[in-house]
Amino acid sequence: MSESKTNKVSRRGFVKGAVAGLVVGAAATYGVTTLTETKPITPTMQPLEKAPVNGKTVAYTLNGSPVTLFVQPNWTLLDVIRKEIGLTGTKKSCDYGECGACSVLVNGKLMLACMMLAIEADGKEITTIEGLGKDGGLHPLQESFIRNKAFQCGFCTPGMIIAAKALKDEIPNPSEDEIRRAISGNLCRCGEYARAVKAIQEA
Amino acid sequence: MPKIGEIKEVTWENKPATRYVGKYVDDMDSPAMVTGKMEYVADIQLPGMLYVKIKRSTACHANIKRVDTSAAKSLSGVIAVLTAEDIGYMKVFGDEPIMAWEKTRFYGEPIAMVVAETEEIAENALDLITVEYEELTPVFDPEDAASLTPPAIVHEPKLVHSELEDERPNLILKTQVRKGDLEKGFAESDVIIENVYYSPYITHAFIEPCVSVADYTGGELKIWESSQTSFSVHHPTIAAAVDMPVDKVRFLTPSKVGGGFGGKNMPQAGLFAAWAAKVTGRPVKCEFTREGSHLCVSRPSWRIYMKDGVTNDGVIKARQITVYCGGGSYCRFNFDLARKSATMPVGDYDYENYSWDCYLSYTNDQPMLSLRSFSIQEIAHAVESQMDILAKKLGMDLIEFRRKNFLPEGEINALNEIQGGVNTIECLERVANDIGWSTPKASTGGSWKRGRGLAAGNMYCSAGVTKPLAMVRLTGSGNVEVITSVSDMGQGALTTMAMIAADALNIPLERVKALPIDTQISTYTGSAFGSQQAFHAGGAVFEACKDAKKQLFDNAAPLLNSKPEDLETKDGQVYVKGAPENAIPWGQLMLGSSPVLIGTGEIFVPCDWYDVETGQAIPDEEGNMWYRRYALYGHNAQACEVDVNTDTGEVKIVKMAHCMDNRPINLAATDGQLIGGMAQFGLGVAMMEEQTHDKGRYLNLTFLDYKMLTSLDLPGPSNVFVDYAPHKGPQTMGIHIPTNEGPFHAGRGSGEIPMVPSLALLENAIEDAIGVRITEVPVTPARVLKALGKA
Repeated sequence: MSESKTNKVSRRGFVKGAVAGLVVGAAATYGVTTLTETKPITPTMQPLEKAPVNGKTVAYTLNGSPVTLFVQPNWTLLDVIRKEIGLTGTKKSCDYGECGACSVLVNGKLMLACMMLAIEADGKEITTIEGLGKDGGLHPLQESFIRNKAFQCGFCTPGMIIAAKALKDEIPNPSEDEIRRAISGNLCRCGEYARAVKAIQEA
Repeated sequence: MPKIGEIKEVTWENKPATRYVGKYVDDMDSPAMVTGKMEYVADIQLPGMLYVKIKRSTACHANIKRVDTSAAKSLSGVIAVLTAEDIGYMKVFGDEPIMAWEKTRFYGEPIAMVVAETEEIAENALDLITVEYEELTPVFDPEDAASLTPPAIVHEPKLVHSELEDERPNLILKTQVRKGDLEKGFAESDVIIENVYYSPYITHAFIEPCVSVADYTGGELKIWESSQTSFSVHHPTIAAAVDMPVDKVRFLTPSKVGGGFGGKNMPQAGLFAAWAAKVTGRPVKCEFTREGSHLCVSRPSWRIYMKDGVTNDGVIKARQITVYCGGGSYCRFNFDLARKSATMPVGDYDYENYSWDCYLSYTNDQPMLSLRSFSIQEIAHAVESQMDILAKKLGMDLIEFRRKNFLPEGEINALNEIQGGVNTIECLERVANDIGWSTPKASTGGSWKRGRGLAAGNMYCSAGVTKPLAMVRLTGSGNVEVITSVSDMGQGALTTMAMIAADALNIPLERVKALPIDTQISTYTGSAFGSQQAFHAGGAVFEACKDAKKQLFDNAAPLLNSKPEDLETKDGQVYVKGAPENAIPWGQLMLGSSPVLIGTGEIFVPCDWYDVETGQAIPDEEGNMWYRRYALYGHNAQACEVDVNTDTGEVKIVKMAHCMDNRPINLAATDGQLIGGMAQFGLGVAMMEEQTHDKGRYLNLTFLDYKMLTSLDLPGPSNVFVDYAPHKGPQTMGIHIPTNEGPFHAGRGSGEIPMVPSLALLENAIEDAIGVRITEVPVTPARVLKALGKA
């Protein structure tokens, strides 16, 4: 078993076959067999160019600003937001669409960025946690999360706040049950659900 | 009835006035955490960074015949592929190789690592590595593993040795406690009850995966890892693993770790990142997948045999506990687990005749690490279930039966420890009141039945002998930096340190910054395990502030024509008490040209060693006796109301309440620990968590199939109660605990105790609802139906 997805055919495993075929056998071996010496081994290979194989230039409106960039067909929106664009508030925890840490809004709809390919979002409006507050201030949900101490380690918090934003956009005054349902896809291992529900209610 | 999210005050006799301690204070990282600006290790990006991925074994017990990495090495973009042969037999904690050495002992053991230009290339290369196994018989059951003739021997020859019964081939440690005469006790009993309790393997499932970034330049290694024991475990372990002196390795952890719960108590991704950086000379990132993060740590399985003898008037005459723990394939901190587990059964109750036998053995399961309460929850599962069963059998009130067998203040328990500062009974009374124990249950209708339960718990909040040392750095501009080795993985521990310093130096909290771990500057104050940081590090910080104040006052006294003891400081100025108009700013009291003043503070946290044959606390080599196997304990109680469906076996939590005997330092943080812990690692573990396997192959390594509690599984905030019963004074036991002084009033660690009563709690409430006793967790619908004879 490898660290890549083993229990099921993954989205990325499915896509990556085509790409791997292009690079296999193209270059020399850089493997290391004996490492008793402490001298670092200097790699001779240059970083791979982002070859425009099957790739595409996409344009987003990200947190209100236009962004144009070149993406490969198997890149997820999550990896593009985090690595290519450099906004790291959107978190990667499971990479399977099970934990909600990577929640973003795409054209105002709640989406899991790890389950969406970057090319699918072409031409769309994307909102991440960094884009919630206006003019450098905090969004009422962010203020309420602080006021209600609705987080501990904070790793699920951006995703949970985005899920709450999607709920409030649809139902401005949600009931306790509606809130519990709306954030039920956001796993919080610290168990701060009760105070999060209160924070969303009071935002 | 204090509900979660409501501001309450915890008070007691002679409570000192404070600016921050004992109140609700926002975590210092709050604004960054809600805006996505908080930097976790996975967010660190260095130029020219390479990526590391791990090839893991697909056999749980096998000889490794051949590992072929040639195809992976020839893949374009792959920089290095390393196996155990390349790095040598580097062992972590005595028996665990970084990558499987000749043999694999659990499904998912690292076999090889790939370093590549991108994550994708590294993942592709993993698929090109082939491994040939010669499968061996595995052993999983904790009792089979402990046998004199087990079905498999996990380590041959044995690398670790037990103090007792070492002839058992898989035994890591046997511990025992003996008091009185068990046979006599049972003979004097009117009722004897025997039960077997079981809790399975579970995993930590922190939301931030295991991740590390490393950079090797100029013969020095700079490394970040998502870690809770950076200073005491990760730093020295990684240095040893890559064969470098510790001073050439600089270990850093950001001020927030995305959850640890015990699972980040030793380096994981850091071991691979360190090797990759050293070998390639380039910056690297190693981020485990969700599966990898589940495979590298877990909590062991426990089977517990309980036999109790009790008189008709409710006195426990004899209690016999025999425990088998399946400790996984490598030892790690298992020794400590077996030792500490003995403290739980004797923390609240007194027994005339008592015995405890704990067998901890190797199995072919994933290696374990402490998981929030480090065995105490599993032991409490048995103890607090038995208390419930016995009380009900005798027709006694549940709290009255516990009170009757409670160890009185100042008395000696079965481990030769003095009981002190305990308020469990009041905790029980408060939680019962919170859920409306004396009021009639609302009718549920149909096949839903309502029940109520309660359970108590106790846990040490100090992890052994230690001498934590902290530093405070006062600047001329009136600001303070607090230097410790405190890890903050969500408990708000750094904010707690800042609050202690702000109150001790009487300055606004905004002027205090508690620094995250950087081994170039941090001092040793222990780490985030054993619920100890508030006490150990907090005590040292308080002492350091006293030292800084002394220096300020010594320097100020001649300038103010006064004596140091007549001075006082507020908001960065020193003046004679009652005369704040003649104040001197700190900056003018820093001698010479120094713009800073450094205060240091150390405390000594002792505990006793124990007699191997009887488990009794005994004096150390110098004859010191503290009557404490661990310096400090906390106590708590929980209650809940549940609905159980007798057709489907579903269980719903209707109300939950938690009370601890504590004087909390930051109520915002402790409320969260108490309720979040009871929810996720308490009731959630009780209801749904189990790491299942088929002949060693794990079946639920993702969040899709490893079920954990969501917001739908808990009641809303109006039915969640959290409270504190002020304890009856600090447990000093002759030990100087600075946090007993001044404003710090004996705050007790509350990170782990929240999950202690919960397994028994749920089973107690379910029995009240449907009249049947379940003794195995998780209490799934299938188990409920089976108990009802419907499946």
